[in-house]
Parts: sequence; C-alpha cells; structure tokens
Amino acid sequence: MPTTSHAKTNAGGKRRSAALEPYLLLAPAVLILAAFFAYPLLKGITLAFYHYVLFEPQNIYFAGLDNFKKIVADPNLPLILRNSVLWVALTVGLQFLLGFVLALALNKTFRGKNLYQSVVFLPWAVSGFLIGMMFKWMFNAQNGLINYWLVKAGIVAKGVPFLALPHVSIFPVIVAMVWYGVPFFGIMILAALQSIPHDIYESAEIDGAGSWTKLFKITIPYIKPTLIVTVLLRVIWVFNSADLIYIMTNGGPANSSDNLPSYILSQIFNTSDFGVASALGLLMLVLLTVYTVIFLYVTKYEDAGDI
Amino acid sequence: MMTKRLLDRLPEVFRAAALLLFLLFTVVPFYWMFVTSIKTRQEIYSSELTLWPKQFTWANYVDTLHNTQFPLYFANSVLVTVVSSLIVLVISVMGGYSMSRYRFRGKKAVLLVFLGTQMIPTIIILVPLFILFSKMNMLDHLSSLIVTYTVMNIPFCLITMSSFFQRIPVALEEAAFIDGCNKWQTMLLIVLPLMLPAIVATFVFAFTGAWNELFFGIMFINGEAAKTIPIGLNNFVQKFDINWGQMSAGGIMSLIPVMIMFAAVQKYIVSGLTQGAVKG
Amino acid sequence: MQRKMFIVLVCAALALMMALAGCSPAGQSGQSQNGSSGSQTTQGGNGGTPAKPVKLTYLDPLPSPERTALMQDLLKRFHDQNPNIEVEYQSVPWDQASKKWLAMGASGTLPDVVSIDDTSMTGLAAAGYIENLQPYYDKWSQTGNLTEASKLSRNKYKGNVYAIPDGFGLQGLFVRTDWFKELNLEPKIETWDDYFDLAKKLTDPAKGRYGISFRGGANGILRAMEYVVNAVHTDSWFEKDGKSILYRPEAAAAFKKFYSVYLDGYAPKESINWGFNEMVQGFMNGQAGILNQTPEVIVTADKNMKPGTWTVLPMPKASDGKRYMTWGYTAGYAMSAKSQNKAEAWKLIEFLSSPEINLEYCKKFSAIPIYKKNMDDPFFKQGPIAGYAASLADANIVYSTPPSYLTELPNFSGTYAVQETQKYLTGAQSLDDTVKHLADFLTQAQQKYMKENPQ
Repeated sequence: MPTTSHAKTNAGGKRRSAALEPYLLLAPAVLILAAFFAYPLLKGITLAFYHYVLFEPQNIYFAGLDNFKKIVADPNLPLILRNSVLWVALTVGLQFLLGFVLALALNKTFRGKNLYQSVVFLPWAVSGFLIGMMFKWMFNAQNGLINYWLVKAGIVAKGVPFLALPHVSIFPVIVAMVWYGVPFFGIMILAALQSIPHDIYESAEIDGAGSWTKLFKITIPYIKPTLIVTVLLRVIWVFNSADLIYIMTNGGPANSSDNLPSYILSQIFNTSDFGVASALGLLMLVLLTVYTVIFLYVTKYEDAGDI
Repeated sequence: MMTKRLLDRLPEVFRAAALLLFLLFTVVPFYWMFVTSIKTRQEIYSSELTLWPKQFTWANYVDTLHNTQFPLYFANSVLVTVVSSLIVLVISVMGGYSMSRYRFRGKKAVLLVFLGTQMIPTIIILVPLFILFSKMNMLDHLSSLIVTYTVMNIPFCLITMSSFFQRIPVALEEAAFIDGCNKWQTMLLIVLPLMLPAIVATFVFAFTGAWNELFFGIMFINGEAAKTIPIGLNNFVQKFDINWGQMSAGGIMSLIPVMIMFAAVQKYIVSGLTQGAVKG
Repeated sequence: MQRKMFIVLVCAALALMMALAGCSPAGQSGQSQNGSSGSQTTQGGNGGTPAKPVKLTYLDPLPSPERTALMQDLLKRFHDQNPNIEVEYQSVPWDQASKKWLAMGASGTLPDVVSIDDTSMTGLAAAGYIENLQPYYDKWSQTGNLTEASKLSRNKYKGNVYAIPDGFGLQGLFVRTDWFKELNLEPKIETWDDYFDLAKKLTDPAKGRYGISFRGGANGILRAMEYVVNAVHTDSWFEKDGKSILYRPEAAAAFKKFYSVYLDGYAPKESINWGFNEMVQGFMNGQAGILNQTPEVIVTADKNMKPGTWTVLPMPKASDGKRYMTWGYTAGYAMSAKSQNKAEAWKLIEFLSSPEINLEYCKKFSAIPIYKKNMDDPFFKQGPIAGYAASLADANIVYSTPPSYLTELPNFSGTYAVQETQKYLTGAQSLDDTVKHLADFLTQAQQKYMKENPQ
C-alpha cells in the first residue's frame, strides 16, 4: 500500500523539541533577512499611513487612512484586481500543468536526455528583460514571427495586433510568462519525483497497478508537499511580478493588462507619491496573506507536512 | 489483454508527443534570438521578415566582446551569482531542516514572515533599501548585489528545501542515530546525499534568480566596473535605438554559463543515486 | 555507495567554505575594480598641482557606445585642464533613469553632476535634490551668447534656472522619402492639413504601411497638445485664469482631429502603446511614413536605414502662418544639492556647456546648439538636420512650452493622460469625457500652482 510516513515525521519532531537547535539552524536566515529587509519593509508599511510625496518635501505628515481612501476611490482598482487574479490563475495554472507533464515525461531515461533537459530548462535562465523584448517583437503585428506564421498558415488574413487590443494584450504577456516559468515547475517536480523510492512502484506493479493508478495513488500523494509549496510560492511570486508587463505593454491599452504591482510601478515614479504606492503595496500584502492562510487550510498542508 | 497493453503504451505515446511539443515551444524564442544575432542592422530593421539571414554575420558577437564591457559584466555576473547562490544554499539547507524536522514555538510566524517578504512589491522597498546601502557604503559595489540576491532568494529556497526534507523518512535518521551517528553525522552522511536532487534544484533556482536580476542591478550599480550581464543587455536599448543584433548576441552568450551549470549539476539528479541510498 | 556519499559530502563542505570565504574577496575585488577605474583618470593629474584634489561623479542617462566614449573623453579633457579635479563617469539606461534619480536623490547620493531631462527637472528641483543654478548662471560669462530658445527653455523652477540644456530639442517630421517617391508625392509638409492629408495617402494596410508613427503611450499627449496650441493659436496650455485651453470647443475639435489619425487607421494599431522608442522603431522598420521627433533621432536613423530613403522636414505651420514650437532638452546638466564640491561641479558644467564643447557635442549627436554662434556652422545647413535649423530660422516662430513648472506634469503626460487617451482610442470612453478629464486635471494643477506662486 502506498502510504507515506508523515505521521512518523510528527512523532520524530516531537522527540527533539527541547533543544535550541531549530532556532540556531534558522538563525542565519532570520538574521540576514532582518538585517536587510526588516527596515525597508517596516518603512514601506508605515509610509502607507503618511502623506509622503517626494516632490513635496515640506509637506510630509501622518495621514491616517487617507491613502487607503484614495485607493478605494480609484476607478481603476476593480479592473486591476480582476486582471491580477486572471494573470495569476492562468500563469500559474499553465506553468504548473505543463511543468508537471514535463517532469513526468522526463522521469525516465532516454537517449539525449541530458541535452534535452539543458535546452528545455534554459528559459528559466533568460533575463526577464530579454524575454519581454523578444516576445514583444514576436507578437508584433507587422514584423513579428508569430503573426508571420499565422498568416503563412492561413489562420489569419493579416497580422493581429495582439498587444494593442484591450483585454487581449494581457495574454501574450501570459504566454511569455508561461514560457519562462514552466522550467521552474519542471525542475522542482522532477527533483521530487526522483526521490520517490522505486520499491514502492515495484510493489504496486506486483499488485497489478497500471500507469494511471500509479500516478494518482503513488506519485501525486508522495510529492504532494512539494506540489503545495511550489504552487504557493509561485502564486505569490507571479502575483508580485511586473517586469514582463512593464516591458511588453506597460499595462496598456488603458490599464487592460495592468496587474497590481505594474500599476503601482506606473503610478509611483511619475507622482513620487510613496504614500499611496505603499498603501497599494500593503493591500497586496494583506490579499496575499489571506490567500496563503486559506490555501494552507484548504490543502490541509498541516496534515501533509508539518510546518 | 490487447486493450490493457494499449492503455499501458498510451503514456509512452503521450510522453514522446509532450517532449516534442515542449522542445518546439522552448526553442522558438531562442531560434529567433539566434537568427537576430547573426543578421545585419539593415536586415533586422527592414520591413521584410527573414527566417534565416540573407547576409550572415558574426559581427554582433565580435562587437559585443570587443566594443562593450561585456567580458567584465560576465565576470561580475558569475561572481555575484555563484557567491550568493552558495550562501543561499547553505542557509536554506540549515533553515529548511529546522522547519521540517523540529517543532518549535513561532514556526508558523517564521513561515508567514518569510512569505511576507515576498508579498510586497520591490518598488516599495527600493528607496529605504537604497538608503540602507548608501549608509553602509555598499552602493556601486558588487557586495550590494550579493546581499540583495541572497536576501531575495532565501525565503523561497528555504521553504522549498523544507518541503523536500519532509519527504525523507525520519526513520532513516533514527536508524542512523541508533547506529551511533550523532546529529551532524546523520545530517551530512544520510540526509544530504538523499537530498541531492533537491539541493541541486534549489541551487539552480537561486542561481538563475541572481543571474537574471535587472532592477536592483540598475539601481545599485553606477559605474562600469560593477555592472552585471542584465544591465549590459539593457544598455543595448538606448533612448531611440535598440541594438537588437548585439542584444541577442549578448543574450545568447549569457546563456552559455547557465548551460554549463545545468550540464554539470544534472548528473546529480539521477535516480540511481537516490534509489541506492534509500536501499543501502 | 559509502565512498560516493563521502565525496559528495566533502564537496558540500568545500562549497560551504567557499561560500563563506567568498563573501569578503567578492567585496574587495569589486572595490579594487572601482579603484582602478578611478585611478586611470588620475594619472598625469595629481602630480605637481598645489590645488586640493577633488573627485566628482557624473551620471549619464543616455549610455551608448558612442556617447559613452565621447563623454568619457570630455571628462578626461576636463581633467587635463583641471588636474586637481577627477571625474568618474557613471551611467543608467534611459528607461530606468527617472527611478534612479529619485532613489539617489532620496538617499542623498545623487552624483555631483547629473544629466536630466526637462520633464523630470521640476520634480527633482521641488524635492530639493538638485541645486538652484541661478547664482552661477547669473555670473556665467556665456549667458548672453545663448540662443533665445535656450534662455526660454524648460529649465526653470519657480523662476530659477536648475539645469543648463545640452542642446535644443525641437520637433521635426521624419519622412520616408522612398514611400513618397513610390506614390509620386512631393516630400513637403507645409501645413497641418498637409500632415493629415499625407497620413491618409501614405497608408496602405495591405502592405502593412501607415501614415503616422503614432505615440499612444507615455508622453504622447505632448504631441496632441502641440497640435492643439497650433490649431487654437496660443503659446500656452492655459487661459489667464488657469483654466485649460482644452475647455475651448475648438481645442476639443483639434484634439479629436489629432487622434482621428489613429482611429481612422492611419497609424499602426499597436502604436496605441508606443512610447518614444517604439515610434522610432516603427518608423525605421517600415511601419510608418511620418515620425514627429527631435534631432537626436537622426543619428539612430542614420545607423539603421538606407541612405536616401528618409529626410527631416520642419514642423508644419499653423493656419495663421506661425509655427507654435514645443521644445525641450534630454540631458541638461544639473548639480546635486548634496554635492560636497559645488564650485568644481559648476566648473564641470561650465566646461561641458562651453561653446566649443557644445558644438562638438551637438554635431556628434545631431542636436541643435544652445549658442547663436554655433548655429552658423555649416554642419547645420545640410542634411536632415537642416530641417530643424530651417524652422528655427523662421521669424514667425512662437515658443509654446508645456507647463514644465508643474510637478504634476510627469504624472499627467506619463501616466494619467496615457490611460485617459487610451480609453478614448479603444472606445471605452467618449471624446467629451476624455477631454474634460484631461482639462480638469490640468486646471487643478495650474490653479494650485498659481495660488502658491502669485505673480
């Protein structure tokens, strides 16, 4: 029977709880984060409650919830939030699905596998800036490779200006983001797959389990902690990612491809209003924290692993 | 009998198809980057799209190597990336082990704080971080990038690491413990070798995260001496002109170290090693 | 198996040691690189001069191999003249520059001398990051030799000069003469009607050709307002009482006419997102036949286009026969308010702005010089740049400037107006609403300014 031994993990954990060890082991991570991130983070959060515009140095004061009132009154906000959800759901969903399939496909040896892996994982190593520039060009209506092929194949009569169409322009950015992010899931899931002991599969095969049974009864339950953690982390990371949007569409046309961080980016440097931008940042922090708590609860992460 | 065999072979067919499709999907942008890198300026800017250059040239590569500081950027990138990802790795292994193997007060708080650092847009913390580095005299200096990339990558790597640790049965460690190994020996002799695929994956993550980072690089570095590859690539986009040829050439060249790194670490993600260790 | 594990373990331990040891050498090597690059410039200087050695930094927002080489050469020549002053060249790519100026300003680390553009200047001055140059400007021996245009230039905040323009960035129309030839059209754009007429004639969607390289992204509104002031014959965006001219019905009509170029399909669909870079790219790669840009673009077009396929025409005349000129500068020299060596920093600005250097600089980067005398140089009488010089020579020129003194201008032209006009262009918002929103925004900012700065 393919059961994992997480129950034991908990028991093992308990036995060792007395010592200072866990704190010591965590200390380097906590210290370096505290030294370099604590001040900027706290500063960023406090600024959300200040009128803080760099262009008005004589006019800085505690403003209570004024910045938040401004945000709520912003007619663009509902659209931005909707875009953010679409952006995260589609990007992470596709990255996960494709990455999982890729990892399964790579979980067996075949000739040329090393070379294949080196190529397929390579997008992960390309700078976001270069990815944005290349995809922006490839999606161009006049001289873009994608439109060139679409026209050649007779799918469209003339180039489609993907990046200029409201409510369409976000999808090319998602494609670029998926291209970039599939290797991450691929690598992480493959690493997890590699650590499944083979004897579990062997005994399952003796019991007559087919490929699909093995996948759903052994593989997925076994790597569930990794799946949960990678999805959790990627959602946060993708939600907080603005660079491809900034390069490919700059949020346009008319904010229809803006997500929350790219919107903040476009607001902050022209207004120098770090108060409102910080309030938007704080809103993002709250949304993602709520998401994290719900996600951990729904996925029963407490039972799957002990964090 | 027949249907069962067919069903069993179906995954094989899927597998081959999936591998092929992925390859195509992955290769297209690289192909375009490469083709651009061997075209002349006029051809790149002509209104006619060519799938292979009419006039083939290596000039973009030569120019990038000779007329820009690319070799220097390269060295800086390697230094920053290797140092920061090794630090990240060590800290994440320690922290990840702690998070997965111990029960202690404040663990959930630590998890949430780690995640929290990733939930704020970098823009918000830019100015305070800038002030911090300027006070520490670290601006325009590779150390500012090493520190930033280390701090940036620790939360993800540490949490990922702990999720990998969770899948290693505690029984294994307990057995070693009974055999007379102390905690450190157990960790170093039993657990870490088992974790190699995970360690490699985490290293790759930290490596690429640092290798690609552009924004902080641009903000913290002013002089030529400490610039990294992404900044160098961004320099090819001038106010009005984009030097597509050299930018693509630089992009292709910047992939070489990463490919070498991938090739070097891949053999550690071989199933044999893990399997043997578990059995032995 | 045991042995294998042992090897792995040793490797891991080694890696750990390297990581920890790696920290400090990494830092040191960075430092020594900085040091050495600095000391290169020192050579030949420090020895023998009694003056106190001073080290300045200069930040260039427009790095390119050519420009970087010239600027470094200029800094070296400055050092040769002033052996006690050594200047380090630093750079930031243009599209990240304004972010870096703010971050540096906020942390008090802005380099002694920094090149900034007209739109960013006011904000940096208001924030107190850059120095008021008026006292230096008043004493400057060259002030009287500047062209009228440079004196009126968008380099003042609250009436004081904060930057010395590097060149005079007026607009001109780049045209694809090869397209004109094919269609048997004369490359001539005398009036704005010609402009709209040609936009239509040059458009051939089947060939992927469009009339105008349109700017729907950041700062595109500046081009629209340029047409609006020409259409309503005024030199200001505002009425005397601070109300936006966009409230005038004829201004709204002009606004509509300007954007009809996009709505009627005489510009590439994608140009709704285009900024300065993309519009130049769009012109060069054969998507658009007319491009409204500054002389700096000549160098770029020269590099990427076949000779004889393009030229530059002066901006069209308004219906009253005048040219209402919008202008600015991209890399004017400003000084950090936190500079420890202000006298030396001004010396550097003076050097970079001297007539000889300005002429050399303008020839190299195809900019219009800031000195009257330099305009007589034969370089400005021929080739594409003559198109710009010609419009300057016109007696009927009216300088009509965007309100750069408003700290809200970057937000207006870079963000707010972009969103509003894109809503209009995608059909999500009516013309009346769009014009009203823009007018309200501008009026509010202007009236606030008038209250704070009574004349």
